[in-house]
Amino acid sequence: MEKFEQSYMEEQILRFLDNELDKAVAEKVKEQIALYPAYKELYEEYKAVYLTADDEIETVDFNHLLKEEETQMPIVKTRRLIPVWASAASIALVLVLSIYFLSNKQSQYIEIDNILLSKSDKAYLMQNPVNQVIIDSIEKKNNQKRINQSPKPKIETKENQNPQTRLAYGMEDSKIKMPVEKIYQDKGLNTIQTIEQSAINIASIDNKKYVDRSVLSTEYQMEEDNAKGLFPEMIKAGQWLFSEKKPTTVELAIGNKENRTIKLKF
Amino acid sequence: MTRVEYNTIVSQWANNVYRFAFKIINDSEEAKDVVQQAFEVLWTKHENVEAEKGKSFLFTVAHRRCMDYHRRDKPREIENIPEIISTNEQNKNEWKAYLHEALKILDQQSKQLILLKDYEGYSYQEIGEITGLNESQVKVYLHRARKTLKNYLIQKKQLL
Repeated sequence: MEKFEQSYMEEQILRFLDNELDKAVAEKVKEQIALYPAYKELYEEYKAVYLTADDEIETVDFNHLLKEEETQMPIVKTRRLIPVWASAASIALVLVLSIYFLSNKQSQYIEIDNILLSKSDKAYLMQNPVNQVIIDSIEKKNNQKRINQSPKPKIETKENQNPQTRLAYGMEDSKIKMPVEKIYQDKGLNTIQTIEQSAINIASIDNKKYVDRSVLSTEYQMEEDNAKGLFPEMIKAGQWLFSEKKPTTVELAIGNKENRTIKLKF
Repeated sequence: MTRVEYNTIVSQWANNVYRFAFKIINDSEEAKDVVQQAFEVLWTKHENVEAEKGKSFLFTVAHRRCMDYHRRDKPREIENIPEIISTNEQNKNEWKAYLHEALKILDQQSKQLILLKDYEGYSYQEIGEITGLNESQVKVYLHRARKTLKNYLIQKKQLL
């Protein structure tokens, strides 16, 4: 058998001692070692430097590294301070109250014919059903201060009184029949039947929203009154319209000019 | 890896890891710390480590801890060197003593390779996975370490 090269054989011996050779190659190396004393000596020298696992060494107790099974804590039932039904009832009460207040807040507004009316506004619904409602939204005018400064309405003197004013205040000598827009339909309202036209144009002041009332309630009957003139009648009509029995503040703009506003308290 | 498998690994390989660390560091307490650290890391990642790879995982961690130790502190020399006894039965122990003494002259990496190969029986490939070397590097470093040990022992024998 051909002798292997020294350097090659040295490496093969180490691999043989490390058990890293294939069976076939290991057999050949074994034969070389057996055949050649130089390789055998080399094999013995390397074998002596290998450590053995039976070397005595201190053994240490590592049982503390073991992991024990986790113990589950027992479930402790806790007593409720507040019973379930009480907490549910309180929550329900809060919900009901909140819904109530929210619904009340929304009921401040009433929608009629696409017009939202606020109860706080001076717009009043008829107790009896009507098709349309006269809306008298009071807007702050530029001369509001002037009106406030003069609480008492100005009454023109007899000499320079405006026939319209005299008519409004129902003065006896007012013989002028002023045209009035047909506000009411004739349905048993004797005192107003003769009124057909008037200079007082309620429906055309500063683009206020007015909805003409076309139908009156037939159930309502005006009381006959001895008061004369247009203005008291208008006041009664207003009272009748708004069904107000308590003192009312009415603001009328007479004429087309804003400075002719009269504030009356009844 | 389950808890039961982990406990099995502790029972089987804890002392092997300790022997490995002790041979490198030459300090019993430090070696115990290395073992404890290795098992702590294994337990932390036990859900991601298979049971069959638990041993190599432990030695990988121990190898790194030992390397860190040597970078930080120099190991103490073995104090308990066995005395030379002239009887035949004790020649073997004498030779072992010389061998362990010869290990000290090796660098840390070579020493670890020797220990992993001789004590734990790992292959070149497994040693490469633990130490981060490739197979051919493991083979070359191991062969160099064996040569060094052989030459040292030959000189010792000649002196005696």
